[in-house]
Amino acid sequence: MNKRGIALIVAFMVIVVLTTFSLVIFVRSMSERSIAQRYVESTQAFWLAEAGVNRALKELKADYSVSSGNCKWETNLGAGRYCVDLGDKDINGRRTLTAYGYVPFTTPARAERKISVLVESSGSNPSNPELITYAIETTGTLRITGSVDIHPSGSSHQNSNLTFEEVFGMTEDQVKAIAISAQDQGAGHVYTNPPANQQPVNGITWVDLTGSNKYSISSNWSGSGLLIVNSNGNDVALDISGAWTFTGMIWVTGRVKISGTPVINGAIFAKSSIDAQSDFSGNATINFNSTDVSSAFSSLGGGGSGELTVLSWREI
Amino acid sequence: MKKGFTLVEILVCTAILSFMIAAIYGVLNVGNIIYKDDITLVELQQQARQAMYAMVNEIRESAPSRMIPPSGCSQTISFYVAPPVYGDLWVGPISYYLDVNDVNNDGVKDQIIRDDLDPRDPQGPRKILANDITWLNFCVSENSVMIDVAAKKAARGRDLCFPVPYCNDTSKTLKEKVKLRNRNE
Repeated sequence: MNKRGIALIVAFMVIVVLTTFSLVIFVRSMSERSIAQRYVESTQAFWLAEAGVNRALKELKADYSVSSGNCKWETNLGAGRYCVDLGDKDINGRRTLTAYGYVPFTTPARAERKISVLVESSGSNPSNPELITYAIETTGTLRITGSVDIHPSGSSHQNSNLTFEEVFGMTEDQVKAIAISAQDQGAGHVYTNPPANQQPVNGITWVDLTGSNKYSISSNWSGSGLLIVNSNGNDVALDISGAWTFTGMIWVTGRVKISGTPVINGAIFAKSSIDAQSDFSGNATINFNSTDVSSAFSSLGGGGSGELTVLSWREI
Repeated sequence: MKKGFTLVEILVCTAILSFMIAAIYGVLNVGNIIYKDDITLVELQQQARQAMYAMVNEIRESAPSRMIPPSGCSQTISFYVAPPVYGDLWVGPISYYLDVNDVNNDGVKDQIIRDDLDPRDPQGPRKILANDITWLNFCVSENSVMIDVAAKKAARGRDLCFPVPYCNDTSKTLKEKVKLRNRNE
């Protein structure tokens, strides 16, 4: 019998065995490699997220009042990219930033790490403009006669409980001190018993009234920023009767009288004594605009020179 | 006439084959030992690195004033980490230590154990981070912690170590410096 054909079978079996060995070794080494690669990418993603945190801290140090947003700062760096979400200021003026590190650049990323950081600025603006939610608000009674355009309609509130300290985050004296300092730097004005149509009104404007004096505005000019009129609270403190345009926040300790055709973009708040009234009459237009209100309060400072403190750093 | 092999031929052949088999076995055996040593060394390395990774990630979220001891070197460390919501009580105390006396009664010594009695901790009150650890040390400085880890395991009558494979230099350790990210309060 011819047995020479056995060589083929033996050779075939040897090839099968060797191929199986090679495959097993290849699969194992690939799996080890992929585990190692995952670890490397996860570590890279972590440090990218840390880079994002440091970038955000640098930006916030330069301008703590910078607007919030998702993926506010995003950069491709090294093997991946980072993206930082910045939150609004909370009631204590603190901001949360969430930094994401991704590896690689493409979406979806294979590795992602997240770091959440709560920061506060020692020079930060403690005001809470988000408490202003109406176009017209008063602690006393609101009386509207004639046609007044309020946008959005119904954006008015009377018998409000808001206080100066709640909204400004500091006392009247502290705010006045900021206004005096701003005046020195050309960014604000402080007037005492000003004549009618005293201007300019921009940045932060502080008006002190004594006795029954009032601040009258009757002509066609425009103002902006944060206007604070401080009187004894019983008399008309702010009397607007012309075609005046204002963008920002008006805060009055006393009664407000509006007539004529002024346009106010932002909000107006009148703090009267309990038996006083705020009279809003005439053909005025008052548009509530939270952005204008927020930017008005930014004139209280808080950007630039503040020292940032990391209150909480957590990987999430 | 049929040709066969003489007894001498068969004896010589058997002797040669025996030598060859002995030589091949020797080579295979050495290969097998090295393979098993490597597996053990990789296990030791993974134990040490995984424990280091877990400790670094957690200690990072602490603050200088939340470390016990607040400075100096120690084989045990306790600390608190920042809570999920700012203003809440800090989570902890979390402790890391080397279980040289089998305090957890599992019959195994030389483990890195993590304890945290805070009920808010999702990892539970006690967790074993690594086995076969011979050295664990923490040095706390102003705003960072240096962690040292070394591992050792006996295999077939001799010791294998990490980070120096054949225990030639036991002073060498796996080191990592962790910056504490949270501030003093």
